[in-house]
Amino acid sequence: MPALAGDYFVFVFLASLGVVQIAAAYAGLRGLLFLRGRCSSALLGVGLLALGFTWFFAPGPRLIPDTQGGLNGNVQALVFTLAAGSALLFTLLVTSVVNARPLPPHFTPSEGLEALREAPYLQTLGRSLALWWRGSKTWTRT
Amino acid sequence: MVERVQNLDAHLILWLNGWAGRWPWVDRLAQYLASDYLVPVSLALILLGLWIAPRERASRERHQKAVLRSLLGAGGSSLAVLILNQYLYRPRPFHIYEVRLLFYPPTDPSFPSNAAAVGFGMAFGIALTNRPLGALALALASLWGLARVYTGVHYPSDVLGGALLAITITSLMALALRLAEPLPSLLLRAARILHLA
Repeated sequence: MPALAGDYFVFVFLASLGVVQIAAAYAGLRGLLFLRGRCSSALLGVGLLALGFTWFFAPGPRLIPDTQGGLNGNVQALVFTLAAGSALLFTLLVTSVVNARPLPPHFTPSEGLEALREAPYLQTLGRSLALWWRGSKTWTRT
Repeated sequence: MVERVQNLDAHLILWLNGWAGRWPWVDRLAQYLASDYLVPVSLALILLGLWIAPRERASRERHQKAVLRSLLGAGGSSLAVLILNQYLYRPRPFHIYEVRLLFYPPTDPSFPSNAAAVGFGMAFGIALTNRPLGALALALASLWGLARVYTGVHYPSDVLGGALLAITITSLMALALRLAEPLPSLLLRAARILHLA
C-alpha cells in the first residue's frame, strides 16, 4: 500500500469527522455531538474539515499516477469507505461516552437517527435492543 | 460530422490550454481542481452529510435514497467507461497536439472521461432530490472536467461524453431503484433499527 494511502486515510477520516459534526449539529442530533452546543459543534466540524483538506493538500495537488504510488479508483473507494466508516465509529463511541447520562426508566427511543436527538448512540441502541428482546419474548409466549 | 466535432474539439482545447502558463496561480488552481482527490472526496463528503443532515424523517429517507442512487450512478458510470475503453481508443490530446501538460500523462484512453463520469454520476444523483446541493455538486463536477481540459489531458467532448454517460446511467439506476422497491426501503428500515439511518 503506497504511503499516499495513509495520508488519504487521515484526510478522509478528519474530513468525515467534520462533516458528521456539521450535519448532526444542523439536524439537532445532540447524541452525536462532541461538544454541548450546536454552534460550537458546527464550528468544530468546519475546523476538522479544514484540517483534513490542509493536511492532505498542503504539500501540493498530489498529481501522482497510480503506476508511481498514486491511488487508482478502486483503492480510493476502498480507503474512503474504511476512513469514513472509522470516523463514524469513532464518533458513535466517543459521543456515547461524552454524552452518557441515566435514561428515564420508561424511555422508548424513536426509530432511526431521530433517537439520537435525546440520547447517545450506545445507550439508545442498548435500550432499543432490550425492548426488542422483551417484545420478542412476549410474542413467543403468546 | 465526426471530423467537424474533432476539429471543434481541437480548436477548443488549444484555445483553453493556450491560457496555461500565463498566470501561475490559475495553473496551480487548475492542478488542484484536476487532481484525482479534491473533487471526488468533496462530492463523497456531500453524500455523507446528506445521509445525516435532513431534519424530518421523510426528507431523510428521500435523501438517503439519493445517496444510494448517487453511489450506484458513479459506480455504474465508472464501469461503463471501463467497458467502453475496451472498444474505443482515442489518444490523449498531448499525444496529438503540442499542449502545455499540467498533469501527469495518463495511459488510458481519452474518451469518455472517467473523472466526468464519476463526478457527474454523484452530482446528478444528488440533483434529482436536492436542487441547491445538486447545483453545487454539478458545479464541482463541471470544474473537475474543465480543469482536466485546461491541464491538457482531455478534449471537451471527452468530458461531455462522460457527463452524458453518467446522466444516462444514473437515471437508469434511479429507475432500477424504483423498480426494486420495497428492497431499498427495507434496507433503510434495517439501518433505522440500528439507528444508523
